[in-house]
Amino acid sequence: MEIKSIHEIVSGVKEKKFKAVEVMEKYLKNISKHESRVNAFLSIREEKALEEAMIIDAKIAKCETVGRLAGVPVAVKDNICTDGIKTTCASKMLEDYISPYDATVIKKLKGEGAIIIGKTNMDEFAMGSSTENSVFKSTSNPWDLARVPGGSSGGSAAAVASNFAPLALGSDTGGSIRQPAAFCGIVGLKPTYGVVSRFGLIAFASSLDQIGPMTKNVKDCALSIELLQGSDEKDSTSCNVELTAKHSLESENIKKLKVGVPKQFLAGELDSEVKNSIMKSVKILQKLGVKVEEVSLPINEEILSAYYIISSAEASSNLARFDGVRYGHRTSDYQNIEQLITNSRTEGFGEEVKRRILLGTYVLSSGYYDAFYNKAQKMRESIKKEYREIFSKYDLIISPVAPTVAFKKGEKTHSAMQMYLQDLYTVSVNLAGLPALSMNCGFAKNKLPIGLQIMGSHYSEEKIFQLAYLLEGELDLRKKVTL
Amino acid sequence: MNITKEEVLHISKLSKLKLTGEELAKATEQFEEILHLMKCIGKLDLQNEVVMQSGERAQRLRKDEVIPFENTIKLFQNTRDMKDGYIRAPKIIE
Repeated sequence: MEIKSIHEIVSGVKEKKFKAVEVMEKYLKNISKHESRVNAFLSIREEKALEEAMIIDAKIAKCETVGRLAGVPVAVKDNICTDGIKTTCASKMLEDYISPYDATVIKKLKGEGAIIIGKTNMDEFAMGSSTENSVFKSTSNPWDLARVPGGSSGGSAAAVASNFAPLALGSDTGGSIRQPAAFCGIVGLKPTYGVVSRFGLIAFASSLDQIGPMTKNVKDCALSIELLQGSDEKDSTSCNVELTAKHSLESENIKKLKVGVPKQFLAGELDSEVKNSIMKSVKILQKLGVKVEEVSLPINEEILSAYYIISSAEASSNLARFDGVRYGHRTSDYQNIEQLITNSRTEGFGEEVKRRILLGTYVLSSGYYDAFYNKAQKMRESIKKEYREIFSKYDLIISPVAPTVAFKKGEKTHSAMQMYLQDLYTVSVNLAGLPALSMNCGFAKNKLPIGLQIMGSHYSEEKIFQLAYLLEGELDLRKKVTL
Repeated sequence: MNITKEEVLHISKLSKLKLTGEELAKATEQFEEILHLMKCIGKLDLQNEVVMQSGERAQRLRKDEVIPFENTIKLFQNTRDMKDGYIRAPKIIE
């Protein structure tokens, strides 16, 4: 049984060509063979997942209705709450935390018949670009085990690329779905802010965080966002938009679209192989009749600064709840309440999380609030305005996802700044609340995948998927991970 | 020098985090590097930008109603110390 897509799993299970249990066994077999080298998961639900697959099969045998993801194994990033399963955020602070409820996205997936196969590794509290900040283990890139899978949703990306699950959930605050998707050669979508409910996502920076799907191909990603979207009374920032991404993938109108390629994104520190690969895709689209033009859209240190100021400020506030009193790690070394809180936090948080809390506290502190936080908020408005202007002339924007292909483990851990520069091409989308998709557009000489980013205006996911689907079909990249 | 060890120490107290001597030196050095980047934002003229307080769409709030969470076993499964249905907090003598 060779499974190529979510669609094949669901139709195969529903039409009784094979059983949901067989599908689950196939993925579990891949995990037992290769997980010890990839380290994508923090927990694996072998027995429970098989039991749940049996329930799906029993329902089908009794001709009962099953959902649109019947029998589909899903890997879930470990900052998304799952009832009865550990949700650790890859942190000592939450190493024993078992969520008493499901996040809204998990409820939706379960309602459609999807089965959680495991929880995936990540940078602690989603802060990082390499999954090396996990307190438990570092995940390897399945294309080259000596390299990082990207981050912070590196475990989810590695799981999909390694055939451990056909669908994974990630979260994206500054590129945490798109950059690992690019490094692992898969498809990842950061939806428009508000399209997917954040209820049950352990907050990093609430005005930037979005949950999104990570899959092997564009069609599966489009189907997944259709099922994950929707307003939720438990997330007041969620909105009531109905995207029909999967059902409008093939459209003749796509060739009438105007696509911009920002020249600033293709200059500077960008690796020449990444640039050439993006330009090859641009030429393919032009040959197909898509109008692609060079545009001007600044990308600079100011944007990166605004992102790190705002995200750190929000993180310092969101992570204040971890005080060792109500939940999370509690120190045994204290004599008064001040020591209880300070020692619990000092022992429970890792280095990068502490750095962001310190930065966030600094930019919000008296005397620096106006110089940093207020200025960054104004910068955010300016970025939104620039994108509004560009999307009044162009339907979509194509750009790189990251300056290079996957880098070696340990290569950037010595410098926080080097790691932050990884996010140069991805953070502006989060600041503006826009949707963006990352997909594989080729391979470097060292056989590592190269990612391409398609950005759109608010709620333009359908157009993004149409262009991505067209490009994916033309590129026809069939290379597979060999572990 | 943009930031001193004393300033970082003050920020760590506000953040309720303790830094050892070595960590303080490293944090100050990295702060210096990061703040150097962040200070570029100060040069921008953004006087005409007005910060919007709500998102792209107005937030919709649900009714402020009490919905009991029935499953108390699940609710308290992360609690370290309970007695007679109450959470026992650590004894603090100041």
